[in-house]
Amino acid sequence: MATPDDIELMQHHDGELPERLSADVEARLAADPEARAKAESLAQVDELLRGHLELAADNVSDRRFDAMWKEIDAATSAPATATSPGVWARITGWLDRYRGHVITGALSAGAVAALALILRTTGGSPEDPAQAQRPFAIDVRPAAMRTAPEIESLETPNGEGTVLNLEDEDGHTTVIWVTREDTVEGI
Amino acid sequence: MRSPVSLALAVALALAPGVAAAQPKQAPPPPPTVSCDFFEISASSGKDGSIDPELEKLKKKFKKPPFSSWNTFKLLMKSEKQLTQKKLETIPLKLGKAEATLLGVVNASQVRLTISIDDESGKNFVNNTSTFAAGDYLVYGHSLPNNDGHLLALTCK
Repeated sequence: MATPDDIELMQHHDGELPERLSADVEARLAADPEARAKAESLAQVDELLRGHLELAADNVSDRRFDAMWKEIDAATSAPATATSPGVWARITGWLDRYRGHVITGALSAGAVAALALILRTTGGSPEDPAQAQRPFAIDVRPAAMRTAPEIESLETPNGEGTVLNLEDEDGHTTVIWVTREDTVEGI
Repeated sequence: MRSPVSLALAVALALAPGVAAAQPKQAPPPPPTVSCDFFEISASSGKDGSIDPELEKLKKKFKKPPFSSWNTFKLLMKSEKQLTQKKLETIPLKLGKAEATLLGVVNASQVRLTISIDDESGKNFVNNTSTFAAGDYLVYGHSLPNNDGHLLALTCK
């Protein structure tokens, strides 16, 4: 005798199965202790859920409850205007169908996000004082790749300035030679 | 049907901005700092020319004008300074003083700085702003009344 599947168990618990099928499930439950345990768990979950909903309903004031009922009445008595299900219904329907995949996906994504967070943290926080204090490093390029120096401004009070660029395999040497009008004193 | 892996990727992409936002704000980067060596040099003419061993890197340059007027180059003072952006540094010389301000680092490999030099009597005689590659040299020179030369060479890295 085959074990009843979860859907059959739920339908049986909710009394939604036809009489013949229900009797069949009853017989299989009697013969299968594992299925019986599952059915009992299902009943407990259902009871818990109902209890919670009842408690939640108790917290709703009567006046609000009346308003809600009126809204439900109005909605159920109004003629159906659309034949196709709404976006939300389609989304929830899809979620119902692929619940297992969604949960697996969400768990995997959570693990990926946690891993990314851990890796970024162990990689060194930008606020790590040691990293913040790391000295600035300038790139000393090979002499052949260096660009010629640029003299932006040159002032030689009481004298004349001459700029020379000596270039060789060691790079550039820029000479700023000052010829002073008063050469009485040295620098 | 979508596989769990593709779903995981989709959700991870959706969570990624949140993860990034959860990171602490980045501390401002430290101001650029470069290390510069200053060489104060006396140039003169002697019977047997000589070049101070510490000036080996400039030896070849001293064979060319305007330095070729002299054959003896003596190191008067050497100073290594850490220049921090927009912070004035004073370099005391045997004959006068120099002031250097790092204006910035260009293309991660060039130094932009301002140099001002005063003579022994405190008279300013040169103010210059230059951009030059790290590893290259800037040499400021001047003839003294006795025809000797007085040089200030610098290089940064």
